[in-house]
Formats: sequence, structure tokens, C-alpha cells
Amino acid sequence: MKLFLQKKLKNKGQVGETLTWIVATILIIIMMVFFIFGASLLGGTKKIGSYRPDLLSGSVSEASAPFLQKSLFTYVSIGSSTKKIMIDKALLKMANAGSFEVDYNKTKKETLLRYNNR
Amino acid sequence: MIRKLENKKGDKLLSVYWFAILVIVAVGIVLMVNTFYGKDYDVRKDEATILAQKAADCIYPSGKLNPEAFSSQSGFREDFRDKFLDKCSMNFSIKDTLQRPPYYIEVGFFSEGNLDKQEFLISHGNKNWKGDCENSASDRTKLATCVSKEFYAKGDSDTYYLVKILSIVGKVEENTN
Repeated sequence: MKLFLQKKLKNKGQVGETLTWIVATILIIIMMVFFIFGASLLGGTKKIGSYRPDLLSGSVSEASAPFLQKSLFTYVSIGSSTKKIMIDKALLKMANAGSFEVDYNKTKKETLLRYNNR
Repeated sequence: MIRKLENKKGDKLLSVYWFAILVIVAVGIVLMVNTFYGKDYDVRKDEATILAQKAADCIYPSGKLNPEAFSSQSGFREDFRDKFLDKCSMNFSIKDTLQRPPYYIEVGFFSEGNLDKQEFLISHGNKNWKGDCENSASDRTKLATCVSKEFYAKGDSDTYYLVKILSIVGKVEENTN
């Protein structure tokens, strides 16, 4: 009788342990699927061209706005002050709309300085 | 003796289980790395910007409109429009195929008097992509990438032009994996 009870108890313990491992395995698999899904979502957000600002030097940021540079060159080289004001207004509007990646006023100042030093 | 044998059997079963878990975790890590690094980089926007920049540098190279494109006597030149790709060292055709090019470029010139009226237009490439630019769908992976840039260019004497460049890169199949 004692031996029978002991065997039954041991069987119960084994069932409990197996159940624990099955649950653990299922949890591991669920976590794996979750992380794989997360990796796939993050993989879609990869982008080229967005660098940390502290990694960029001034010359790089200036080179990244060649269209603004061209417009500013037109602005400084044109003689008529009325036309200058018109161009400046249009460029300021574009800057406010976020068309340039660089600071418009700073770039304008630098271009003016460079042009006046010629 | 019997208990010892049973324990050994249990240990063996447990080590098989651990091995299976190890395999599951390893396969999971490989899958995670593969899905993250296996996704393509969509560089079409940068490509379109470079294309627009190249066109702008060709038209307005050093603070003066390209004399091949514009002359003070005859204004904008038709022959430059026809040979725009050659003159600006661009090649839209895909090697050894008769496929339509995945690129389109459009350069519009607007004179200072009336910035709404287009005075001269240069366009080359596959015009079919242009429709994608007007599409307002939120998921743009299956649409061509459009980049529009504009700048002011000084003409002859004291006149200026607003130059609007629209560059489009298709390559939709390559970017919809």
C-alpha cells in the first residue's frame, strides 16, 4: 500500500514537471515570434540619410542645400533691390514651409559675407 | 539500482529538451537578424534628389544659366531640350533591355514677370510615373518616389527665372519585397 502511494505521488510529480516544461517551451516560442515580428517591423524603418547632427560638419550641411545656395547666389548677384526683396520673400516663405534642410538666415548671412569679401 | 537507472533516463530526456530549446532560440535569433538586415533600404528619395541636383548643376552651373540652354539673343534653346540627357551626361536606359526607364525628369522655367506661367519646359524619361506623384495614398511603397525642387536662376542682364525641377524614380518592384 505504501509503495503504491509512493509510486502514484511520483507520477503526479512527473506530470507537474512535464507541464511546467511544456508551458515554458510555449512561452519561449511565443516570445521568439514576438521578437521576430518586432525585428521585421524595425527593419522596415531603416533609412539612409538621417545622420546625428553632431556627426555633420558645417560644410556638409551647406553642401546638402545646393538649391538654396543657387537661389542665394542669384539673390546676391542681382542688381535691382525690388527683385532682391521679391526673391528674399519667396525664399523665406519656402524656408518657413520647411523646404530647406539648413537654417535659411544663417546660410544667407554666410553667403552675403562670402560675396562681400570677393 | 532501478532508481539510479530511472534518474539517468530522466537526465537524458532533459538534455534532449535543452538541446531542442537551444535550437529554437538559435533559429529565432537567426530569423530576427535575417528579417532586420534582410529588408532593403529604400534609397529612391536620395536617388531622385541626386538626379534633381545633377539637372540643376547642368542648367545653372556657376551662378549663370548654361549658355547651351539659354542665350541672350534667342532665349531658351530647343536643341538643348532635345539633347538634354546627353548634354547633362545622364543616361536613363537600362543596359541590354528594352524596358521603359524607371526615371523621369521635368524642368520648368518661369519668368520673373509671371511666376505662374511656364516659359520653357524640358522633360525626359518615363512620363507614366508622373501620375504616382498626385496619388495621396499613405502607403507609398508601391508608388514611384517624386522629389520636387526649385531655385532662382539669374538670366541675362538683371532678369531672373524660377526653375522648378521634378524628378521621379520608379523602381517599384525592387522596393516592394
